[in-house]
Amino acid sequence: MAQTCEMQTIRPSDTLGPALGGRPVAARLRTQIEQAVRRGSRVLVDFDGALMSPSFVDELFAKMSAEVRNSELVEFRGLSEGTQAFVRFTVDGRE
Amino acid sequence: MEPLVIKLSSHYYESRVDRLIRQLTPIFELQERQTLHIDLKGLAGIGQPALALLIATLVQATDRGLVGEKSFVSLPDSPPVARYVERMNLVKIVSPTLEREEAFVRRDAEGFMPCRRFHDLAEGISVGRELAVHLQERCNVDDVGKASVQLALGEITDNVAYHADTAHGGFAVCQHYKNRQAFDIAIVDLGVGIMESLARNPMLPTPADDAAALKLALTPRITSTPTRNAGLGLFVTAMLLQGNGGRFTLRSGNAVAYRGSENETRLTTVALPGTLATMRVRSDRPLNIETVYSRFRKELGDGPDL
Repeated sequence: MAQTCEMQTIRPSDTLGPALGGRPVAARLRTQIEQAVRRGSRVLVDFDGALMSPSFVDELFAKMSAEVRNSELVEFRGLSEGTQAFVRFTVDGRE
Repeated sequence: MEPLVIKLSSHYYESRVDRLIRQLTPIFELQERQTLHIDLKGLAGIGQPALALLIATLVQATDRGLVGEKSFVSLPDSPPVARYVERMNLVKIVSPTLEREEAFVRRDAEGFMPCRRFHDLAEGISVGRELAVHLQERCNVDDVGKASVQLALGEITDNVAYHADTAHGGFAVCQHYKNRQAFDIAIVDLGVGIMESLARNPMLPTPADDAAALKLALTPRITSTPTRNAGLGLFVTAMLLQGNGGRFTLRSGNAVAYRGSENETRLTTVALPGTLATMRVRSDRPLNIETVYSRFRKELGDGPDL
């Protein structure tokens, strides 16, 4: 029997505005993503139109469990090449 | 007891912050309640770093109960400078009950915004957002520039809230200079300073002096609290201003570091008990934190050079 998989779309800039900063906010977002993935839900996080601070990047991506970050259930969309490079750099710093 | 007189005259721009620190040192060192006379009669101009430092020093001394009831401020003889000082609430800080002969009329002067104080992460982020909105309203800063300033300010206020270890919080001031196509933002705390903060991370080498500590603090992935922080905020802020043609100045203890249009770290002859960060942003040039991040594309390893 085919399994149905809940799909959750998160657009942080809808609720937080285009400037994503602050560790507490990023930590809440990370927890939301991790909990959804652990429930087996698919999560699409769309950063289109948003800029992130270094702390936000660290708190969201680098502190996220590698299992969740690399899970096929999670998709990060709308990240520029530059931000993707910075995310890699930040994640590398914690591995 | 004779009042302790702090007499400021002439100009106090970036190059004369050392002089101001020297003059404020008796207040930093106060151990008991003292009547202060802040004599600003000869003050002809004051930049944002000096203003932030002066306000922080007086507020902290007041918080600690060290400013005697009869303390007073002699306002600058220059009417525009006097108005500016009053708008910054400097007089109220030192002498809350001071009566003015003429009612002071607050005007929404162009480029001006009163000093903002913050105590924790949430307040710091709020101050950063408020300053960014204020600057966009007065300068030709686009949405990306505004967001970039806001994010950089969030990094600095986070440092104050998390590393300065002071109950007195931080202070932020900003000013737009229309004729210079630039604005300055200064954020100061009178906490433990960068050298002592870094010493709390036993994994780091012990800096030889405050200048070495500042260099270390401006290096990527250096932080006193590696579990919580990544040590990238100051580095990215400095790169942001470098790309904009502006300048980032970091001052703590006996040292000052300039990054951006200048790249120098030097020892000073006077010690600032705490940390003063100043951003000089050019409003006629692009300001984009994405541009900074794109430099990490090819230059991995230890990160790009500043």
